[in-house]
Amino acid sequence: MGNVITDDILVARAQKGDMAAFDVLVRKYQYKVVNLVSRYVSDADAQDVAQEAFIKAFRALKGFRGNSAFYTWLYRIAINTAKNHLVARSRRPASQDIDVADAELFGHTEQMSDVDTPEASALTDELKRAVAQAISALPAELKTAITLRELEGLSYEEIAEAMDCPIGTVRSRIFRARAAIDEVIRPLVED
Amino acid sequence: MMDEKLSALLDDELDQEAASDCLDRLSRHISARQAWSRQNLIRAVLKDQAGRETVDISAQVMVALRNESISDSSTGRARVLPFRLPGIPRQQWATGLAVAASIAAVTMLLPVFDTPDSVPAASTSQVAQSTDSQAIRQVALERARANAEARRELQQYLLDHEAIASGHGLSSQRAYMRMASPGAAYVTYSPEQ
Repeated sequence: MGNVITDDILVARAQKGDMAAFDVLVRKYQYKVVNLVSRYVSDADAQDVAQEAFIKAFRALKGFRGNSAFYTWLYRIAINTAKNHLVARSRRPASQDIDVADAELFGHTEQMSDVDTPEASALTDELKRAVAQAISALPAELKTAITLRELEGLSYEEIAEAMDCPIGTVRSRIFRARAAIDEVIRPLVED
Repeated sequence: MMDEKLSALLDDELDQEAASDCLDRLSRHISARQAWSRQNLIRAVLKDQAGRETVDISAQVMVALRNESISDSSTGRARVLPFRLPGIPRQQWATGLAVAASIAAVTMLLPVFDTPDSVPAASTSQVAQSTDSQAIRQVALERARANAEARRELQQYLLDHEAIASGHGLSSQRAYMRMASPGAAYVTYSPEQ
């Protein structure tokens, strides 16, 4: 099966003015972008800066030629937006530069922003607990499939080989695992 | 709704045709996009890539971009800033924004439905000379009833939104309308009047 990179289709559609396609991209990357910029700016500003980064990305999208992955390009815009935000706020930018690839790897203990709000982390902590509990409650074959996919980053073909089952079965197991986790977290994130 | 294809799309495990079909469905259905958001949130949480703030900002981004395109088409220039109302918690104003947009739409639609009762009567009199005057009178009567029913439904719609507004810290529709179009004068329904 010749799989396609979903981002490529979405970017092509968004470049033609398809706002819904850009919405799908925003929904895909928003949490990672907010997390990324929150290493530069306060929690209070992180969402505004992330929002501004997406707006800038949309404006610049027609110039995106696909020389790099979309998310690399987007993260670079997000980091520049965060740095500009700091300059505008007359604050010193981060003392050390962070490479886009490295930025994703930083954990919460390496936050560079100086304003933390306990309220902000409460929902995330609750989500983490809920997701962990939902996964631990899964049947073994679903737990293995979703773990190999999400944490190990294996493709369906590789998971099929590891679990000694057809690709269709892997696809079904991953879906069922996600549906079960979704049931648990939906009440937490819906208004 | 979450389904197997959407799950496979998340993993880039669909071929071109299936991925395009799935993306078409995402574009059409907000529930599918919401499921997409949640699945990406789960992924971010699992990979420890979710920040301390996990509020969905996609609605604000799209509102800002739509405002930009409106501004572009009307003035030829635009300066888009992150969309946020001062002094109101983000989730409250995001909900309020949706309500305000709904009320604005209803307010714009009101004149369409709020046809004076004399209009159907006048139409009736103009065609009463025809031999089918009785049938036309009946049509006009039904139209007047439909208009009255539409007015009732719209009034109920506004009252429902009034209740939602109260629950989100804005005291009335008037506050929403002021928010949507500052400086404009409004005459809105008030239960006290």
